[in-house]
Amino acid sequence: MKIGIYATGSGTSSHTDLLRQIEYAEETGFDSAWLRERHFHPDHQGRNFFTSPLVAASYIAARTTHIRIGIASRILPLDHPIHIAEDGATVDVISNGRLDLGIARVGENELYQLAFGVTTEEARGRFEECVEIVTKAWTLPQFSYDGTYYSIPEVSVYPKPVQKPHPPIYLVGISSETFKFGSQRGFPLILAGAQPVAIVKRTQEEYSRLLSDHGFPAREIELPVNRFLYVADSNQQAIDETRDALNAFIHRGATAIRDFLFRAPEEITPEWLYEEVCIFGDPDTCVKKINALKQEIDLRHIICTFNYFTIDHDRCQKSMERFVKYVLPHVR
Amino acid sequence: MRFGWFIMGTESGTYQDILEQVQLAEELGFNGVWLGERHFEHSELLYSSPFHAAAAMAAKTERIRIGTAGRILALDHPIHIAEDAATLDLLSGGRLDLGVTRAGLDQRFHQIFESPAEDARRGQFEEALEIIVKAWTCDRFDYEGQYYQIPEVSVLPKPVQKPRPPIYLVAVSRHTMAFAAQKGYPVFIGALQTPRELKDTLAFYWQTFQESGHNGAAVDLPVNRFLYVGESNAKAREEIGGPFWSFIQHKAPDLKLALQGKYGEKGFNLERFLEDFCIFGDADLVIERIKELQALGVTYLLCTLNFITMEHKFCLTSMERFATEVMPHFKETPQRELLGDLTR
Repeated sequence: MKIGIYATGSGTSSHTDLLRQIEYAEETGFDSAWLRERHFHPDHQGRNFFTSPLVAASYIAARTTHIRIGIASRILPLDHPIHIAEDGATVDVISNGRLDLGIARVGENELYQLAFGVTTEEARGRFEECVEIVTKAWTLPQFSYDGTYYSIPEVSVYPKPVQKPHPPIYLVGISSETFKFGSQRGFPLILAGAQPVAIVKRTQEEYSRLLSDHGFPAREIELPVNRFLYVADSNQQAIDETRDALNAFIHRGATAIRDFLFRAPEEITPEWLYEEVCIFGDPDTCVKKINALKQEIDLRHIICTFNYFTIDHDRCQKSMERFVKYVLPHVR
Repeated sequence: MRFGWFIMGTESGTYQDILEQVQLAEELGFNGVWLGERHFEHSELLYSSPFHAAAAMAAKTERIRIGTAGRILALDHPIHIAEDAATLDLLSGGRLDLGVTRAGLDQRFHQIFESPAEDARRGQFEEALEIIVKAWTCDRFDYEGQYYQIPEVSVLPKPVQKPRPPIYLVAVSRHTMAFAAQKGYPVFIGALQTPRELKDTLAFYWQTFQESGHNGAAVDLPVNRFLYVGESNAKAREEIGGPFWSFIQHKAPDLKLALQGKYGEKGFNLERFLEDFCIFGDADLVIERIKELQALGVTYLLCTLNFITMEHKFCLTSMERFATEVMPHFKETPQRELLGDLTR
């Protein structure tokens, strides 16, 4: 099983905290580190790099040697496709072929589109055309493109990525149109951290079926699953130390990503999250939960979120250390 | 005198070479490195994504300032530029200098990135600049312009440097030079100016600057020069004459055009260029030429030491000679404070 870290950051963690977590993840053998894209967000004391995940990825690439660096995900309609191709390829070159590019159609709220001057109606069209243009820019010596939203005369785009034919593209999304679009192209789907196991299972099955329908070897395509983790010395300690975080999630995060939960708001309680969504507990409980999860879903690549909402850097660091020492050897 | 390096890269080079050169530049005591922005066939190595390249440089260094010279504002949304630049300022611990420019090397940049027609570009540039400064310095702002309409937003992160990182303008036309001086922005002075032109340019800038109510000579204006230090004058010309010629002919269409316009058929030759603006020679000659510039009021020399067509190894030896034999002859001036109103 591949192990990743999703460097989401809590309300108080700074960019240096996240960089330390990623460096620690590389030192202790994690396979991947993932960064998000977020705009106009007051969290993290306004001191983090989420507005510009590929800029941060470049920095991280120069500081690390082997961990893969993923973006989950770039919101394509907010930027020109040629920029995405150039920026992504630059990171791939600097990291010597370690970029995984996750893509999304929309961000956390409408303000993103409004501020960057994109209408919601055209977001899907721009998203789909962008993927085509980025792929062409990465793989063809030269190309031209004539779409509804982008019209590009013949051009060569540099640098070319190191990975051939191009860096892996991962899909992040929930709508059936997005699934159709991604599965037609064989993109792996990343499953969101807040989803209950049953939904993850159903989504993975549905998406794998779509991949097969479109002629891709679904079994060979890993669908990474994001999970919230907290490893404490005892189960009670885990519950005590995550209670505020779960409440913060319910009152803030859940409103932004309710679509991912498939659940009525009044049914989202700390107890329910603890049972259905999160991997919290002492090392033994976490090992059991992860191994049980492996039986239920495709868990060839788990992306762990350690640092979220009110889980600050210090507690995150301790939880990561316990994970590395007591959990990792029994689940890999 | 302070020294910066307009870092291009070499044709046969890699990002690894460039990162090595930047680390060496820091060790040797350069004040800053500056990256241009190029796209398409002009950018096989350098730098379709200058902020991203700069982030890797920031990760490999501790003190050297890292600047763009310049980001082409018309090709990207100003909020992206503000966010990316602030992120870079954060990651580098406050070492960003943001140089910006109105026009790219090639018209196709503007065509492909769908920036407005040429006659509208000035207006768009000025709006973008305003938005970047607001995004960096205001808690929240909205913007209702001709080219950009932005609902109330709070752009984060804020840069580390307060009230904001310096903004430099690439100014070729007198119009842009005057605009910059009026607003208090420092400008880059291009590599092709002869000493006499340089003198006029500096006088024009400072006069406009003072007439606009700014407070004296507050900022360094980086003056760009192609520079190569060889073992002897003859060796220097032998090693670098050819590559430089090939750079002008094949890799710098904007410079070629400007030079043809300026010198005509007859004067378009290396002898003239060496006389007017290229500093290629042994350490003594280079020192003498820099002293001449100093006498004209130049305080920041922006050296172009690795123009594409030269080899990485030549670049490294030239740099080392420059640092050991030339730089010690110039006292480092302290970083000047920006005295203009930085919220503009």
